[in-house]
Amino acid sequence: MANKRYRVGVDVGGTNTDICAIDEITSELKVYKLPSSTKDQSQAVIEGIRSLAEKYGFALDEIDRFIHGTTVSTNAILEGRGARTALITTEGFRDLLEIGRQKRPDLYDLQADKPKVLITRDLRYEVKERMDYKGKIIRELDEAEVIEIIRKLKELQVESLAVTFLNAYINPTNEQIVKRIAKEYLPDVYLSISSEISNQFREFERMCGTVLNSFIGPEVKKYLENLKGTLTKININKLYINHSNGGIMSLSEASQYPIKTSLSGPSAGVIGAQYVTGLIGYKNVLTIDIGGTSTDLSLIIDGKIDSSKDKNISGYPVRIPSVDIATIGAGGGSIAWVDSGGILKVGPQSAGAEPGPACYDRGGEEATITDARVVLGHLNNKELLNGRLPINSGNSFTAVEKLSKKINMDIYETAQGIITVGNSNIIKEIKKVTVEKGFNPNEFVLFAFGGAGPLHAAELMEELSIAKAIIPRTPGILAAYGLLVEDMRRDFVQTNVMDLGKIQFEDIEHEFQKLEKEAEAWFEFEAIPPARRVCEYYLDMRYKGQNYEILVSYDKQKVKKIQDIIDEFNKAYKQLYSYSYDDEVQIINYGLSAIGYINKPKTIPSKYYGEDSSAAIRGERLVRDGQNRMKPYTLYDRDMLNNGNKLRGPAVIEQMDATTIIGENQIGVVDEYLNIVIEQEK
Amino acid sequence: MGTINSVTLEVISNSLLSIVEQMGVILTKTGYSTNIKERKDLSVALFDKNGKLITLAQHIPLHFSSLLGAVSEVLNKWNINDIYEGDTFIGNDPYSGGGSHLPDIVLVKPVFYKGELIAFAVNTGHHADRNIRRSTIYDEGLRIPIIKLYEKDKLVKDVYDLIMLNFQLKEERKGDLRAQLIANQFGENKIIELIDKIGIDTYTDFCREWLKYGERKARQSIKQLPDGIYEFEDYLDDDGNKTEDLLIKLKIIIQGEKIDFDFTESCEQVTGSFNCIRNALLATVYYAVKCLMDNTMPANAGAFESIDVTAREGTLVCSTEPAPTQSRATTTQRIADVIFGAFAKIDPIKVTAAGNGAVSFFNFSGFDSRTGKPYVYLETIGGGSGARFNKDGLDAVQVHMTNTSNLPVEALEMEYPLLVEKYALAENSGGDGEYRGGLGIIRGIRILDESKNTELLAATERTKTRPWGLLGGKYAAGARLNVIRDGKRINTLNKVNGFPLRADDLIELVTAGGGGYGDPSKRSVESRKKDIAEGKVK
Repeated sequence: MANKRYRVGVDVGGTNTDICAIDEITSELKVYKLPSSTKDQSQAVIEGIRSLAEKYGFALDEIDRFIHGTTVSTNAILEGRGARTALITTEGFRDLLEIGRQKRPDLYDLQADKPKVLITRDLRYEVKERMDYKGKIIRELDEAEVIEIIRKLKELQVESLAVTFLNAYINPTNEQIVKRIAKEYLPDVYLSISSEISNQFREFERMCGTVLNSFIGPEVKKYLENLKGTLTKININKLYINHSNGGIMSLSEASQYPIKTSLSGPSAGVIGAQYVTGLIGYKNVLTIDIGGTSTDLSLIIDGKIDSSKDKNISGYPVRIPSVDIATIGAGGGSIAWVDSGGILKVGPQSAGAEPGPACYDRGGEEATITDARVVLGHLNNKELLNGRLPINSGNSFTAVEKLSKKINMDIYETAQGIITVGNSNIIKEIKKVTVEKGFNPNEFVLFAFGGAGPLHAAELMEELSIAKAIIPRTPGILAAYGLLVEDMRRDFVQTNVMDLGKIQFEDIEHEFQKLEKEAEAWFEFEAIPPARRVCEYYLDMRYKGQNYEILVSYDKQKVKKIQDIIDEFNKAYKQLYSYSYDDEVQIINYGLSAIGYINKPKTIPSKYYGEDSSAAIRGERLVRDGQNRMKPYTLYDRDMLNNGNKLRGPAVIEQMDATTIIGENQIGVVDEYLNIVIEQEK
Repeated sequence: MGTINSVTLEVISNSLLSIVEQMGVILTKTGYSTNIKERKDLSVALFDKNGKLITLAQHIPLHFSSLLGAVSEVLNKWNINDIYEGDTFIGNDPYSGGGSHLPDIVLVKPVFYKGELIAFAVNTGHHADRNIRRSTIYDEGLRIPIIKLYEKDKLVKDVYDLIMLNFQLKEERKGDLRAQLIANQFGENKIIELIDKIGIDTYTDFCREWLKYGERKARQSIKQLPDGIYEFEDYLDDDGNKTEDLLIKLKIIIQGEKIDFDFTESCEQVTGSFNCIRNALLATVYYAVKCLMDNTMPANAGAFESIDVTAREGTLVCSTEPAPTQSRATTTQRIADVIFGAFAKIDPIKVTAAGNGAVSFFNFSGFDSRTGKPYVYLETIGGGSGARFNKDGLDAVQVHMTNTSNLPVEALEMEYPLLVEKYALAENSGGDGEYRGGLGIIRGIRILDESKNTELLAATERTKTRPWGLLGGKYAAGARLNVIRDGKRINTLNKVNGFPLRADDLIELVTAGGGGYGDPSKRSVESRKKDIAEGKVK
């Protein structure tokens, strides 16, 4: 029996596949990066773990847990490629999938289209059945009609089926009957029913989630089965998939609910951020992940990941609890341009990885944020990625100069302008994200990661009056790291509208007991030992007559009567909207997050070395500052920095896949986990 | 440009846009009624101290009428010395309150910086309370001229009490008005924060340069259009009050950097509620200009004021007191059709064929015996959009002047004693062509036993003159309102007002499709096959 001592996280991104392994005995972290294999993600996954093991000299069967962040489902949705799927729904409503909320996608752009309808009309079937809003059957399901349709589907060789009935969230009986029939007649067809995908009201969103699940289901299932086959062959048996709500699940659950992995990629990064900031005691964190083409923003509030049931992917609503991440098209590759009225704009067009910024010398001619940073001296003007990416700074100057002539500014002012405008796009989104939750940006610590996050952190702090920013030790592979610290998690949600004035406290407990039963079954299914089971409870609530629910945590120890719940709701409401009413309060959804606690890898604080950072200094770099003055910035090697080192701004810190800037009047301190904590100098 | 350059122009405009976006978020989230929260029937803007629009959040194009109207009404009516820090103005009247119809209530908050007036934060929301359509504005509900709801941060209680007395759903109104107040207050705080940072001089310079930028963008796109006179006309079916075939006629006159939208020859105002005031006409022209000339044009006064709009007072498109205006949204849809029609003669690539051309709606009111309270349920139904030069129109969407969402069936049935029986595409409703027009919608609602004293107010358009096609594209199918009792259609008109309903009646609204584009014989075989396979065309 091999010594199972490694936990491995593999995060597949658009450009790279990142691997992070931790030795559970020594707590040593091992990292590997390789280009993603686009055709079949698992190729790079397998190749990557082989190379990693080889590089660090351990055997593959020493791997204990394998945790995977996959974009197979995300890509299937984005590319609109999926199974031949049919829909069965309540009579009168098969076009709901196409009508949606009847909004057009853009107010003024007449060429804009709605997202592609995933099931053509001829494969959308209606059956006679109807439930009222209380779940009372007001029209019996015509089973003969269902059987007839199912037979037809067999003839038509559909690969997948989705079932959504009106009001099924409150009474799934009819959906269950269809499920039974489908299992009998179409055992090989992939099946999703809406009451199992999302037990929440609002029929279009529920239908859309169910359809998406069936649409991508067969492909995701196949991918996971293949992966499982390959990994078990090399004796890696504990396999997990990261889901959208920042937790992991088994492969069999992922195969059944692939829609739950549709926002899997970015969520692991936020979990990594939560873990790292938790270690050093920060509770309220704004995470910002800036890559080549996009920026992901998320909030950690009071130590908790901010979760939402109101997300979109590629224009399709997904009402699955997911880490609330806002994405905008702004990154290092965002292209700067001058509009017809003479204004300098940045993005959303991006030079991407190919051809990339002008300085990559791969044919890109337009100035990007990265080029502006080369011109200003923020970035190394010879090479990046430890020499793997040569930089042609002349190209950057040419590209920025071209723009500068159009707006009549000098080349450095223009480069600075590109950075300022690019940041203003990010800032606009940060303000929106925070105000939606009832906060100001400066109530948070900024946690910057991704290839470009550490470049922007100092500037964003300054603009948003944020007191502190944290740059993790490995900003480029934070998502893979996050995978190593995730727990098993499954979210159960049930809509059941109740007016608090009309019910007893026992009614609420009773509803939660029902969810607990489901959670219990899941714990058993996943063989999670009782000592490791945790349930977190919450309610989605609103004032009666309103149509927006807010999430209110429900602490079983504290809440003992109805009034306690009302008080908690009013408190949460007030936080969001700065006032509350005396009006009647309703519960809309009951929520339970079942968590199977997994031991975290040990993280050992490093030894204190003192403030002197001179050993890491590699010299100086001349940088143009915001006032267009040439300033010497101290140049540091990140790998040489030790716990306690103090870095006086202005400074540039280089590491393999990221560059950090500390501004004038800012100070950086390296903490015991080798994060750099940047603060405004007092 | 002083302190302002290509970069600061973009950065400060971004900051101001961010402020109105955040105001919109706050209004949506704090709003009380379904209409504000779920359907987002609201809009937000910032104006400078001279009443010039600085920035507008993208919500409902038609609402621009109320935003613009209210601020100019404040400046017209109030002596600048009587406007104080902490004031909030309220209004809804089309002829004296800046509004465009009475349900849209607008709140204007003058913003002061160090004692000096520097901006106006403005928002409007549709208060779906009572919904009355009569032959004069006096009968359509409470008219509020531009008056102070707050003075120096103190509620003018008499005004508030008078307004509240006139509402049926007081809790909703209270909540929505409060949300509107909070949104403006938020806007004020954020503008002050911004000016603290950039300085008042930079802000003032910015406002000036930003409007010049808008004008520059507008003039540039006008210059690209060929000089000439381009005409188009179309009709509204009727005014719901027996006047039929209401002519809207437009002449677009282009000369160099000038463009004039001349509506002089449109028909006289009517006694039905379809009259449209001048500001609503302006909002429609600005919408169309953004779509057709340059959708990157900033929504600011500099851009808009480069565009001339000529109309004759007392006409359908520029009505005067006492013409009722409740249903003016549908009229603005036809105005948009006419602008698109005329513009097709300038550049057919830029336009679409006619869309469903209406704000089709039904409004159920009655007494809900489940709750023991009166209820009002308003819903607008989208339809087809016109086909484009290179692709089909969109099925089942809101077009032009509105873009509100529907209310989910499961939410509706929880709240109102109604049952939705059908929500479907109207087959065969898209105009044929090389590219097909989008399909209309059928929504059918059954009255449940629990609904007492139920009344229906409903209207649709394009029941006679159908949405037209372009360059050989065909007309779309028209719209229809059906009140079905015991299996028979019992209404004679497609616009009804206070129609008494009984339990088990089925009300079905069928909206129009969009017109086709190009010669139908050129439609690809695959597209035709697909339409037939999907049953969209029979």
